[in-house]
Amino acid sequence: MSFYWIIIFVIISVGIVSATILFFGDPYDARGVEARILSDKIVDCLTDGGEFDGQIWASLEEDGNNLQEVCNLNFQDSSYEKNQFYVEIEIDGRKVEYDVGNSGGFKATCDAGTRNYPICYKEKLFVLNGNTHLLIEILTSVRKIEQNVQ
Amino acid sequence: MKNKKGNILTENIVFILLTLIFISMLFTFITNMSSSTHLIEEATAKELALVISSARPGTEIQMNIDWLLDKKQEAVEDTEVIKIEDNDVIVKLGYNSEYRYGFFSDVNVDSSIQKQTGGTYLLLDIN
Repeated sequence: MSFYWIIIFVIISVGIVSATILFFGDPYDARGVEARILSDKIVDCLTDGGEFDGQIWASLEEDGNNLQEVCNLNFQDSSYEKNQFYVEIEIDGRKVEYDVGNSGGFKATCDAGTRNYPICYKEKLFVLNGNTHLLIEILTSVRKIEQNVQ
Repeated sequence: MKNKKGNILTENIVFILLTLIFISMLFTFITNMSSSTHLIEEATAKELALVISSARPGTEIQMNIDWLLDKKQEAVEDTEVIKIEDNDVIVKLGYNSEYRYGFFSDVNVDSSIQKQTGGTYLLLDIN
């Protein structure tokens, strides 16, 4: 067997091993699905039988950081010290933010285009409010970079 | 002339054998990487956390985990393979390895692992 064949084998094996390690070494990124599920949970929270729940919205308008208590959510994560979620809800031009300890850092990186930033999910929907309808826009963002990005 | 033909045949046989060994080593490496316990721990923990996050209170989930128990080390008890602590799903397949991922619903999750006629099942009661 010539020396050149050995070199070819080495190149092929390095290529295959590198590609395998890169592919299987990358964590699964569940943040997109997580942001979508969070958005659905908030829709469930704001509506009751398909109708807009004004009382819930009023509680959130008082203080957006009440989101966890109002909507039965728990953003505490033992793997992180800081909060890993951001939520923004806009109804009829009125906006509520859940942004504990993040200072708006999540929203600014929504369209960053790389996985090293929080992943955002935007949803728009109409809900009934008596005889009219309301447009609800929800933005949810999940950080959790250490567990979802290499 | 005769020796030259014999050498060519021997060389080709050795070359083919070495190539087959090389290919089988690569295949074994890829198979081991794809079925590593860490990957399975991570995928299972994340999938269960997402299921719990999306479930409404009052939901009961029953999942056959025979495939998961086949992958665990013997030192790990069946009841330790999947646990729910606070808001974390913890999947443990090795004595020194585990993976935890948090869910964001404010629910109490009662989890148990039970052996039934069809296999071993993870039971989650979300309330």
